[in-house]
Amino acid sequence: MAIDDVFREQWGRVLATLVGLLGDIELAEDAAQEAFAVAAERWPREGEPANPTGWLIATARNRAIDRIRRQRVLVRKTEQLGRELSESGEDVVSETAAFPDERLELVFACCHPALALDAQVALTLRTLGGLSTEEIARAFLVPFETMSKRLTRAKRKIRDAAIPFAVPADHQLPERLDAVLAVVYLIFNEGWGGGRVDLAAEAIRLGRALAALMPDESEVLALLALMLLGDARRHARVRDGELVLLDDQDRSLWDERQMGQARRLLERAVALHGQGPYLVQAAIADLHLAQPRDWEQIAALYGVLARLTGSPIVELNRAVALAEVAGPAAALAALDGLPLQDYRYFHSTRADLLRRLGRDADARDAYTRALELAQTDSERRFLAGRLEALRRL
Amino acid sequence: MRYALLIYGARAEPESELDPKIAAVLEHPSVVEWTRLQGLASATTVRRQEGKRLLTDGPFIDSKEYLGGLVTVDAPDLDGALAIVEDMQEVRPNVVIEVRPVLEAG
Repeated sequence: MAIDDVFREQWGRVLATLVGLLGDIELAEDAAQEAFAVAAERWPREGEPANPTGWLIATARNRAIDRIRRQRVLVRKTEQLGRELSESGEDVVSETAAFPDERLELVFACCHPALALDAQVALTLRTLGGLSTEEIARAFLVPFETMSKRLTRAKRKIRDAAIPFAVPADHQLPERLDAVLAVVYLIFNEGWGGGRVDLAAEAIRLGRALAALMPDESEVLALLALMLLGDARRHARVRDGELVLLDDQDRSLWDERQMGQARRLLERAVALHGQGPYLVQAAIADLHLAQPRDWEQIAALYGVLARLTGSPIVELNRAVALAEVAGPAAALAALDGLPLQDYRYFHSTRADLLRRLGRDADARDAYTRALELAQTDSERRFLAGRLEALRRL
Repeated sequence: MRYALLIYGARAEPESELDPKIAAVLEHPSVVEWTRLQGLASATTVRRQEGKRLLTDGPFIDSKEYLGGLVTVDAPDLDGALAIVEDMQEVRPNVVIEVRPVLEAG
């Protein structure tokens, strides 16, 4: 493994333990960066240590203590730590010491609802994902300065307001876990929508880490399955810069191995008696990949999901499935009254149903409205193509 | 760690008596002290303008929600403070509470 990859693998693990030891994210980050820099210089020359994680944590910790002594930083926990260590006279922590894995504590701190959502997202990518501030800024199309301020502000709020570095108690866990999963899924969808594949891969990395840390939480497994199923079709989704509909995708481009992984996760989530929204979504995503598609089952699951989430977008998807089971007229009726007048897919879906019902003039109006709301060139080309086809009839 | 809970409500005038349900919340061992404020009509806002003192009759921020009181709690972390907030809002679902860590001396 290239040294950069080793670092990316180790970053979250090392940083989390350091935050636990030092009680401050900024301090931990500086110390971790120093340790990684020393490693980058030494490892290629002297070889990788037997326990790279332990080596990095021990080195970072010792550097941090040196720095605290020099600066006499007035942070309670670090002062105490410095005192304990000078009393014991034990400056060098053995690199083979077993350091607890505190990534879960870190992720729950970073996704605490007292932080703004955009700060939760950025902080999670920085601390657990190990992305640089510059990479995160680029991914979200904001200036470096803005992202840097956002991260600094979030880290200081965690410190100043004493946002807990802990896994929430059982009675709060479901709600807090929802917040964590929402952050990961948001990162994933950001990666899809803008065509910036890296973020989708980051979200999957985070999802894998969470699944390893919480192997008995069905929603954690289900979210990973959902992301893997979506990502497995990555190469089939766009052809020559054009969006390809599911039915037109070249199935040989689908990543079967990844789909298999997703299905095993899905089975485990079901075995854990999960019934949360990510599990339902993953089950729907899986049904969509079967040929022919079981539209009745899909429509039923969208109904379950709509009740769980109350989302009109889910109702829209249910209508699409309903069109296959009960025909376009029934689907059109299901769309009536949904509060989605400014949502492009609402109009493109209506347009398609109207076209199938032979109501060409209404279909043209709906396609026109969808075109006005389209957000990417590839969407615009697709809708313009449909509109053109209707005009020729 | 100490937190100030700044309690805002739609009420311009306080209730004449402390609601026993609120009193029960304030009995919590992490509550260090608490203060209820008199009505808005009694507020005076003071500014300095070009070195001269300028008094205004009324509250500093004129909005639909008024600062009605404040509670200082001692909790191990933010979640500890938020637990008291939750108890408070169980009794008064419409109050809005701002949680601010207290700057410790030194």
